[in-house]
Amino acid sequence: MLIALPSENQGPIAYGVRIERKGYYQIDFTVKARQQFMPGQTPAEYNMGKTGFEGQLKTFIFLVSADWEIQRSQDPSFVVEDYDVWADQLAKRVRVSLEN
Amino acid sequence: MNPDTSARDAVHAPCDFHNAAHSVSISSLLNSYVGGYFISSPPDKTPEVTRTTIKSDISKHLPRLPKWAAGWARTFLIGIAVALQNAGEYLFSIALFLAACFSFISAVYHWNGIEDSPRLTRFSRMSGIALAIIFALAYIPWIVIRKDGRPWSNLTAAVPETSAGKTVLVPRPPSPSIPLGWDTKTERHAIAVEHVRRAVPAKPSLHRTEQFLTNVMLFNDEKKIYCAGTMGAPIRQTSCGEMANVFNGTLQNKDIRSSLCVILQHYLVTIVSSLDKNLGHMANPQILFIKAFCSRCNRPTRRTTRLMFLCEFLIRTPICSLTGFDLTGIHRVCDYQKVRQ
Repeated sequence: MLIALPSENQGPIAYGVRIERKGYYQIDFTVKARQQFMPGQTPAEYNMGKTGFEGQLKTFIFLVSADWEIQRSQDPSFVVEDYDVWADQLAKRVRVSLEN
Repeated sequence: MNPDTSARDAVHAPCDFHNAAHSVSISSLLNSYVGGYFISSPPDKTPEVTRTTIKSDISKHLPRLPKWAAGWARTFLIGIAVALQNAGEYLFSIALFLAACFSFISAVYHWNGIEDSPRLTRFSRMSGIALAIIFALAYIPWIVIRKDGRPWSNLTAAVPETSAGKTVLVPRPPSPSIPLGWDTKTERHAIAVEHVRRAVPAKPSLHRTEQFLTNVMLFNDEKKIYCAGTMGAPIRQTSCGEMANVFNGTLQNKDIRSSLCVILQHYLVTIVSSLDKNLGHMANPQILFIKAFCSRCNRPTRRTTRLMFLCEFLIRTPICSLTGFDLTGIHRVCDYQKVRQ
Protein backbone atom coordinates (compact mmCIF):
# COMPACT_ATOMS: atom_id res chain seq x y z
CA MET A 1 0.00 0.00 0.00
CA LEU A 2 1.38 3.39 -0.95
CA ILE A 3 1.20 5.78 1.95
CA ALA A 4 1.81 9.44 2.73
CA LEU A 5 2.44 9.90 6.42
CA PRO A 6 1.60 13.25 7.99
CA SER A 7 4.47 15.50 8.89
CA GLU A 8 5.66 16.13 12.41
CA ASN A 9 5.85 19.76 13.51
CA GLN A 10 4.90 20.97 10.04
CA GLY A 11 7.84 19.18 8.48
CA PRO A 12 7.85 17.45 5.10
CA ILE A 13 5.46 14.62 4.38
CA ALA A 14 6.94 11.13 4.29
CA TYR A 15 6.00 9.06 1.25
CA GLY A 16 6.43 5.34 1.30
CA VAL A 17 5.28 1.78 1.01
CA ARG A 18 3.43 -0.13 3.69
CA ILE A 19 3.35 -3.90 3.97
CA GLU A 20 0.69 -4.77 6.45
CA ARG A 21 -1.35 -7.58 7.89
CA LYS A 22 -3.93 -6.20 10.27
CA GLY A 23 -3.36 -7.35 13.80
CA TYR A 24 -0.06 -9.04 12.98
CA TYR A 25 2.55 -6.75 11.49
CA GLN A 26 3.12 -3.46 9.74
CA ILE A 27 6.26 -2.50 7.89
CA ASP A 28 6.71 1.05 6.55
CA PHE A 29 9.45 2.08 4.15
CA THR A 30 9.25 5.85 3.88
CA VAL A 31 11.20 8.67 2.25
CA LYS A 32 11.34 12.20 3.57
CA ALA A 33 13.12 15.24 2.09
CA ARG A 34 15.92 16.65 4.25
CA GLN A 35 18.41 19.02 2.60
CA GLN A 36 19.48 20.38 -0.73
CA PHE A 37 22.99 20.98 -2.05
CA MET A 38 23.98 24.14 -3.84
CA PRO A 39 23.52 23.87 -7.63
CA GLY A 40 26.52 22.08 -9.13
CA GLN A 41 27.68 20.70 -5.82
CA THR A 42 27.80 16.90 -5.64
CA PRO A 43 28.21 14.56 -2.67
CA ALA A 44 31.81 13.78 -1.79
CA GLU A 45 31.33 10.02 -2.02
CA TYR A 46 30.06 10.31 -5.58
CA ASN A 47 32.70 10.15 -8.29
CA MET A 48 30.99 11.94 -11.10
CA GLY A 49 34.10 12.76 -13.13
CA LYS A 50 34.48 15.95 -15.07
CA THR A 51 31.79 15.99 -17.68
CA GLY A 52 31.42 19.74 -17.97
CA PHE A 53 27.76 19.57 -16.96
CA GLU A 54 28.28 19.73 -13.23
CA GLY A 55 26.61 23.12 -13.13
CA GLN A 56 23.32 21.58 -14.20
CA LEU A 57 23.29 19.07 -11.37
CA LYS A 58 21.02 19.54 -8.41
CA THR A 59 21.41 17.19 -5.46
CA PHE A 60 18.87 16.51 -2.76
CA ILE A 61 19.25 14.50 0.42
CA PHE A 62 16.47 12.22 1.61
CA LEU A 63 15.95 10.30 4.81
CA VAL A 64 14.90 6.73 4.24
CA SER A 65 13.24 4.98 7.18
CA ALA A 66 12.28 1.40 7.71
CA ASP A 67 9.85 1.16 10.56
CA TRP A 68 8.17 -2.05 11.55
CA GLU A 69 5.90 -3.16 14.33
CA ILE A 70 5.02 -6.79 14.98
CA GLN A 71 2.15 -7.59 17.29
CA ARG A 72 2.21 -10.38 19.84
CA SER A 73 -0.56 -12.51 18.42
CA GLN A 74 -2.40 -15.42 20.01
CA ASP A 75 -2.04 -17.29 16.73
CA PRO A 76 0.50 -20.07 17.34
CA SER A 77 1.43 -20.19 13.65
CA PHE A 78 2.54 -16.57 13.78
CA VAL A 79 6.09 -16.55 15.11
CA VAL A 80 7.05 -13.02 15.96
CA GLU A 81 10.79 -13.65 15.79
CA ASP A 82 10.57 -15.05 12.26
CA TYR A 83 8.73 -12.01 11.06
CA ASP A 84 11.20 -9.76 12.82
CA VAL A 85 14.06 -11.45 10.97
CA TRP A 86 12.17 -11.09 7.71
CA ALA A 87 11.52 -7.38 8.27
CA ASP A 88 15.11 -6.83 9.35
CA GLN A 89 16.41 -8.46 6.18
CA LEU A 90 14.15 -6.31 4.07
CA ALA A 91 15.35 -3.16 5.84
CA LYS A 92 19.01 -4.12 5.44
CA ARG A 93 18.63 -4.83 1.75
CA VAL A 94 16.87 -1.51 1.22
CA ARG A 95 19.73 0.16 3.03
CA VAL A 96 22.28 -1.59 0.83
CA SER A 97 20.37 -0.48 -2.24
CA LEU A 98 19.87 3.14 -1.35
CA GLU A 99 22.31 4.24 1.34
CA ASN A 100 25.01 6.67 0.35
CA MET B 1 -101.78 78.19 41.30
CA ASN B 2 -98.66 77.79 43.24
CA PRO B 3 -96.16 80.28 41.99
CA ASP B 4 -93.30 77.90 42.51
CA THR B 5 -94.97 75.12 40.53
CA SER B 6 -95.99 77.35 37.69
CA ALA B 7 -92.55 78.74 37.51
CA ARG B 8 -91.04 75.25 37.40
CA ASP B 9 -93.47 74.18 34.68
CA ALA B 10 -92.72 77.30 32.80
CA VAL B 11 -89.08 76.48 32.94
CA HIS B 12 -89.41 72.75 32.12
CA ALA B 13 -91.94 72.91 29.31
CA PRO B 14 -89.63 74.34 26.67
CA CYS B 15 -86.90 72.16 28.00
CA ASP B 16 -88.81 68.91 27.27
CA PHE B 17 -89.65 70.11 23.82
CA HIS B 18 -86.06 70.85 23.24
CA ASN B 19 -85.02 67.35 24.42
CA ALA B 20 -87.46 65.64 22.08
CA ALA B 21 -86.29 67.64 19.11
CA HIS B 22 -82.65 67.01 20.04
CA SER B 23 -83.09 63.23 20.32
CA VAL B 24 -84.62 63.05 16.85
CA SER B 25 -81.85 65.06 15.31
CA ILE B 26 -79.10 62.88 16.95
CA SER B 27 -80.61 59.61 15.74
CA SER B 28 -80.86 60.95 12.22
CA LEU B 29 -77.28 62.19 12.38
CA LEU B 30 -76.02 58.83 13.74
CA ASN B 31 -77.83 56.96 11.00
CA SER B 32 -76.28 59.11 8.37
CA TYR B 33 -72.81 58.87 9.97
CA VAL B 34 -72.72 55.05 10.32
CA GLY B 35 -73.49 54.72 6.68
CA GLY B 36 -77.01 53.59 6.61
CA TYR B 37 -76.71 50.59 8.87
CA PHE B 38 -79.58 51.64 11.01
CA ILE B 39 -81.54 53.06 8.12
CA SER B 40 -82.04 49.67 6.49
CA SER B 41 -82.58 47.90 9.79
CA PRO B 42 -86.02 47.99 11.32
CA PRO B 43 -86.40 50.48 14.09
CA ASP B 44 -87.56 47.85 16.58
CA LYS B 45 -84.52 45.54 16.11
CA THR B 46 -83.20 43.82 19.27
CA PRO B 47 -79.68 44.62 20.61
CA GLU B 48 -78.39 41.01 20.04
CA VAL B 49 -79.13 41.05 16.36
CA THR B 50 -77.48 44.44 16.04
CA ARG B 51 -74.32 43.18 17.78
CA THR B 52 -74.09 40.15 15.45
CA THR B 53 -74.38 42.32 12.41
CA ILE B 54 -71.64 44.61 13.63
CA LYS B 55 -69.38 41.68 14.39
CA SER B 56 -69.83 40.16 10.95
CA ASP B 57 -69.22 43.51 9.35
CA ILE B 58 -66.05 44.05 11.37
CA SER B 59 -64.71 40.61 10.48
CA LYS B 60 -65.50 41.35 6.85
CA HIS B 61 -63.64 44.64 6.79
CA LEU B 62 -60.70 43.89 9.06
CA PRO B 63 -57.51 42.40 7.52
CA ARG B 64 -57.13 38.66 7.86
CA LEU B 65 -54.65 38.98 10.65
CA PRO B 66 -56.09 36.26 12.91
CA LYS B 67 -55.88 33.53 10.25
CA TRP B 68 -52.37 34.56 9.28
CA ALA B 69 -51.33 34.70 12.90
CA ALA B 70 -52.84 31.28 13.57
CA GLY B 71 -50.85 29.71 10.73
CA TRP B 72 -47.60 31.19 11.92
CA ALA B 73 -48.34 30.29 15.52
CA ARG B 74 -48.66 26.66 14.45
CA THR B 75 -45.26 26.77 12.76
CA PHE B 76 -43.88 28.54 15.77
CA LEU B 77 -45.22 25.79 18.02
CA ILE B 78 -43.49 23.10 15.95
CA GLY B 79 -40.22 25.05 16.05
CA ILE B 80 -40.40 25.43 19.79
CA ALA B 81 -41.20 21.72 20.13
CA VAL B 82 -38.09 20.75 18.18
CA ALA B 83 -35.98 23.23 20.12
CA LEU B 84 -37.26 21.91 23.41
CA GLN B 85 -36.39 18.34 22.58
CA ASN B 86 -32.86 19.51 21.82
CA ALA B 87 -32.81 21.17 25.20
CA GLY B 88 -33.87 17.97 26.94
CA GLU B 89 -37.47 18.97 27.63
CA TYR B 90 -39.03 15.98 25.94
CA LEU B 91 -42.40 16.10 27.66
CA PHE B 92 -43.01 19.75 26.76
CA SER B 93 -41.83 19.06 23.26
CA ILE B 94 -44.41 16.32 22.77
CA ALA B 95 -47.13 18.49 24.25
CA LEU B 96 -46.37 21.41 21.97
CA PHE B 97 -46.07 19.23 18.91
CA LEU B 98 -49.39 17.54 19.63
CA ALA B 99 -50.97 20.96 20.14
CA ALA B 100 -49.62 22.09 16.78
CA CYS B 101 -50.94 18.95 15.12
CA PHE B 102 -54.33 19.41 16.75
CA SER B 103 -54.42 23.00 15.53
CA PHE B 104 -53.54 21.86 12.02
CA ILE B 105 -56.24 19.19 12.08
CA SER B 106 -58.78 21.76 13.22
CA ALA B 107 -57.77 24.17 10.50
CA VAL B 108 -57.99 21.47 7.85
CA TYR B 109 -61.35 20.28 9.17
CA HIS B 110 -62.82 23.77 8.99
CA TRP B 111 -61.31 24.52 5.65
CA ASN B 112 -63.81 25.83 3.14
CA GLY B 113 -62.26 23.82 0.36
CA ILE B 114 -62.41 24.23 -3.36
CA GLU B 115 -65.82 25.27 -4.53
CA ASP B 116 -65.78 23.55 -7.90
CA SER B 117 -64.50 20.18 -6.80
CA PRO B 118 -65.92 18.72 -3.62
CA ARG B 119 -64.10 15.44 -4.22
CA LEU B 120 -60.73 17.13 -4.31
CA THR B 121 -61.70 19.08 -1.22
CA ARG B 122 -62.65 15.92 0.64
CA PHE B 123 -59.49 14.16 -0.48
CA SER B 124 -57.27 17.09 0.52
CA ARG B 125 -58.98 17.39 3.86
CA MET B 126 -58.64 13.71 4.64
CA SER B 127 -55.02 13.68 3.47
CA GLY B 128 -54.17 16.65 5.65
CA ILE B 129 -55.79 15.12 8.69
CA ALA B 130 -54.13 11.77 8.06
CA LEU B 131 -50.73 13.42 7.64
CA ALA B 132 -51.16 15.35 10.87
CA ILE B 133 -52.13 12.18 12.74
CA ILE B 134 -49.18 10.28 11.27
CA PHE B 135 -46.75 13.05 12.23
CA ALA B 136 -48.23 13.24 15.71
CA LEU B 137 -47.97 9.49 16.20
CA ALA B 138 -44.45 9.30 14.75
CA TYR B 139 -43.17 12.16 16.85
CA ILE B 140 -43.73 10.33 20.13
CA PRO B 141 -41.54 7.26 19.40
CA TRP B 142 -38.95 9.52 17.82
CA ILE B 143 -38.78 11.50 21.03
CA VAL B 144 -38.60 8.30 23.06
CA ILE B 145 -35.62 7.18 20.98
CA ARG B 146 -33.98 10.57 21.34
CA LYS B 147 -34.59 10.52 25.07
CA ASP B 148 -32.65 7.31 25.51
CA GLY B 149 -32.79 6.94 29.25
CA ARG B 150 -32.62 10.62 30.00
CA PRO B 151 -35.35 12.19 32.12
CA TRP B 152 -38.46 13.54 30.45
CA SER B 153 -37.70 16.99 31.72
CA ASN B 154 -34.75 18.74 33.25
CA LEU B 155 -37.04 19.96 35.97
CA THR B 156 -37.65 16.44 37.21
CA ALA B 157 -33.94 15.62 36.93
CA ALA B 158 -32.84 18.57 39.03
CA VAL B 159 -31.11 17.87 42.29
CA PRO B 160 -33.72 17.84 45.01
CA GLU B 161 -33.01 20.77 47.22
CA THR B 162 -34.99 22.30 49.98
CA SER B 163 -36.02 25.87 49.94
CA ALA B 164 -33.16 26.63 52.32
CA GLY B 165 -30.65 25.23 49.81
CA LYS B 166 -29.84 22.07 51.72
CA THR B 167 -29.50 18.86 49.73
CA VAL B 168 -31.81 16.05 50.68
CA LEU B 169 -29.73 13.00 51.52
CA VAL B 170 -31.15 9.72 50.28
CA PRO B 171 -30.24 6.88 52.67
CA ARG B 172 -28.10 4.14 51.13
CA PRO B 173 -29.53 0.63 51.13
CA PRO B 174 -27.96 -1.68 53.69
CA SER B 175 -25.19 -3.86 52.31
CA PRO B 176 -25.56 -7.64 52.64
CA SER B 177 -23.68 -9.34 55.44
CA ILE B 178 -21.89 -11.69 53.00
CA PRO B 179 -21.06 -10.08 49.67
CA LEU B 180 -22.03 -11.77 46.44
CA GLY B 181 -19.28 -14.04 45.09
CA TRP B 182 -17.36 -14.25 48.33
CA ASP B 183 -14.90 -17.13 48.50
CA THR B 184 -15.13 -18.67 51.97
CA LYS B 185 -11.85 -20.60 51.60
CA THR B 186 -9.65 -17.70 50.66
CA GLU B 187 -11.95 -15.21 52.38
CA ARG B 188 -11.61 -12.98 49.36
CA HIS B 189 -13.92 -12.01 46.57
CA ALA B 190 -14.09 -14.89 44.13
CA ILE B 191 -14.11 -12.68 41.05
CA ALA B 192 -11.07 -10.79 42.29
CA VAL B 193 -9.23 -14.08 42.95
CA GLU B 194 -10.06 -15.29 39.47
CA HIS B 195 -8.88 -11.99 38.01
CA VAL B 196 -5.57 -12.30 39.87
CA ARG B 197 -5.09 -15.86 38.63
CA ARG B 198 -5.75 -14.91 35.01
CA ALA B 199 -3.73 -11.72 35.01
CA VAL B 200 -0.76 -12.24 32.75
CA PRO B 201 1.60 -9.40 31.92
CA ALA B 202 0.93 -8.47 28.30
CA LYS B 203 3.94 -8.62 26.03
CA PRO B 204 4.56 -5.37 24.22
CA SER B 205 4.63 -5.42 20.46
CA LEU B 206 7.99 -5.51 18.73
CA HIS B 207 8.84 -2.11 17.29
CA ARG B 208 12.06 -1.28 15.44
CA THR B 209 13.28 1.50 13.21
CA GLU B 210 16.22 1.89 10.83
CA GLN B 211 17.14 5.14 9.12
CA PHE B 212 19.75 6.29 6.64
CA LEU B 213 20.33 9.04 4.09
CA THR B 214 20.36 8.86 0.33
CA ASN B 215 20.95 11.32 -2.49
CA VAL B 216 18.97 12.09 -5.57
CA MET B 217 20.39 14.17 -8.39
CA LEU B 218 18.58 16.03 -11.11
CA PHE B 219 20.25 16.69 -14.42
CA ASN B 220 19.44 18.36 -17.71
CA ASP B 221 16.62 20.63 -16.59
CA GLU B 222 15.28 18.02 -14.23
CA LYS B 223 14.29 15.68 -16.99
CA LYS B 224 16.77 13.04 -15.89
CA ILE B 225 16.88 11.81 -12.35
CA TYR B 226 19.73 9.89 -10.82
CA CYS B 227 20.03 8.19 -7.51
CA ALA B 228 21.83 5.32 -5.88
CA GLY B 229 21.53 2.24 -8.05
CA THR B 230 20.30 -1.09 -6.86
CA MET B 231 23.75 -2.58 -7.42
CA GLY B 232 25.17 -1.11 -4.26
CA ALA B 233 27.80 1.33 -3.09
CA PRO B 234 30.86 0.06 -5.06
CA ILE B 235 29.16 0.68 -8.39
CA ARG B 236 27.70 3.95 -7.17
CA GLN B 237 31.10 5.51 -6.79
CA THR B 238 31.73 5.21 -10.47
CA SER B 239 28.29 5.68 -11.91
CA CYS B 240 24.78 6.38 -10.80
CA GLY B 241 21.68 4.60 -11.94
CA GLU B 242 19.12 6.61 -13.80
CA MET B 243 15.72 6.39 -12.22
CA ALA B 244 12.49 5.86 -14.03
CA ASN B 245 10.65 9.14 -14.08
CA VAL B 246 7.13 8.18 -13.18
CA PHE B 247 5.94 11.65 -14.06
CA ASN B 248 6.99 11.12 -17.68
CA GLY B 249 8.28 14.65 -17.99
CA THR B 250 9.67 17.64 -16.20
CA LEU B 251 9.07 17.78 -12.50
CA GLN B 252 6.83 20.42 -11.11
CA ASN B 253 9.04 23.29 -10.01
CA LYS B 254 6.75 24.17 -7.15
CA ASP B 255 7.52 21.14 -5.05
CA ILE B 256 10.51 19.29 -6.43
CA ARG B 257 11.29 17.59 -3.16
CA SER B 258 7.86 16.05 -2.83
CA SER B 259 8.02 14.94 -6.47
CA LEU B 260 11.35 13.28 -5.83
CA CYS B 261 9.88 11.66 -2.73
CA VAL B 262 7.17 10.15 -4.88
CA ILE B 263 9.74 8.89 -7.36
CA LEU B 264 11.71 7.32 -4.53
CA GLN B 265 8.50 5.85 -3.24
CA HIS B 266 7.99 4.06 -6.54
CA TYR B 267 11.61 3.05 -6.46
CA LEU B 268 11.04 1.54 -3.03
CA VAL B 269 8.22 -0.55 -4.47
CA THR B 270 10.54 -2.12 -7.01
CA ILE B 271 13.26 -2.67 -4.42
CA VAL B 272 10.97 -4.23 -1.84
CA SER B 273 9.24 -6.42 -4.38
CA SER B 274 12.54 -7.73 -5.76
CA LEU B 275 13.92 -8.24 -2.26
CA ASP B 276 10.84 -10.10 -1.20
CA LYS B 277 11.16 -12.26 -4.25
CA ASN B 278 14.75 -13.05 -3.32
CA LEU B 279 13.71 -13.81 0.22
CA GLY B 280 11.16 -16.29 -1.05
CA HIS B 281 8.04 -14.61 0.16
CA MET B 282 6.72 -13.24 -3.09
CA ALA B 283 6.49 -15.01 -6.41
CA ASN B 284 6.02 -12.05 -8.71
CA PRO B 285 6.94 -8.39 -8.25
CA GLN B 286 3.80 -7.47 -10.13
CA ILE B 287 1.77 -9.25 -7.51
CA LEU B 288 3.27 -7.11 -4.80
CA PHE B 289 2.33 -4.05 -6.77
CA ILE B 290 -1.16 -5.32 -7.30
CA LYS B 291 -1.37 -6.05 -3.63
CA ALA B 292 -0.23 -2.53 -2.91
CA PHE B 293 -3.25 -1.16 -4.71
CA CYS B 294 -5.55 -3.83 -3.34
CA SER B 295 -4.41 -3.06 0.21
CA ARG B 296 -3.65 -6.70 0.79
CA CYS B 297 0.09 -6.64 1.43
CA ASN B 298 0.04 -9.65 3.69
CA ARG B 299 2.55 -12.36 3.81
CA PRO B 300 1.29 -14.85 1.22
CA THR B 301 -0.83 -17.68 2.41
CA ARG B 302 -2.95 -20.00 0.35
CA ARG B 303 -5.92 -17.71 0.73
CA THR B 304 -4.10 -14.47 0.02
CA THR B 305 -2.39 -15.99 -2.99
CA ARG B 306 -5.78 -16.88 -4.41
CA LEU B 307 -6.92 -13.35 -3.73
CA MET B 308 -3.90 -11.95 -5.49
CA PHE B 309 -4.45 -14.09 -8.54
CA LEU B 310 -8.06 -12.99 -8.52
CA CYS B 311 -6.92 -9.37 -8.41
CA GLU B 312 -4.52 -9.98 -11.26
CA PHE B 313 -7.23 -11.65 -13.30
CA LEU B 314 -9.62 -8.78 -12.66
CA ILE B 315 -7.04 -6.20 -13.59
CA ARG B 316 -6.27 -7.97 -16.85
CA THR B 317 -9.90 -7.77 -17.92
CA PRO B 318 -10.82 -4.97 -20.33
CA ILE B 319 -12.98 -3.23 -17.73
CA CYS B 320 -10.14 -2.93 -15.28
CA SER B 321 -7.71 -1.89 -17.94
CA LEU B 322 -9.83 1.19 -18.39
CA THR B 323 -9.07 2.14 -14.82
CA GLY B 324 -5.46 2.84 -15.73
CA PHE B 325 -3.55 -0.28 -14.70
CA ASP B 326 -0.58 -1.04 -16.87
CA LEU B 327 0.96 -4.31 -15.87
CA THR B 328 3.71 -4.06 -18.46
CA GLY B 329 5.35 -1.46 -16.26
CA ILE B 330 5.70 -1.20 -12.56
CA HIS B 331 3.65 1.92 -12.16
CA ARG B 332 0.23 3.05 -13.13
CA VAL B 333 -0.12 5.09 -16.27
CA CYS B 334 -2.49 7.54 -14.74
CA ASP B 335 -1.43 10.48 -12.66
CA TYR B 336 0.08 9.38 -9.42
CA GLN B 337 -1.60 12.08 -7.45
CA LYS B 338 -4.97 10.78 -8.53
CA VAL B 339 -3.97 7.32 -7.46
CA ARG B 340 -3.06 8.47 -4.01
CA GLN B 341 -6.38 10.25 -3.64
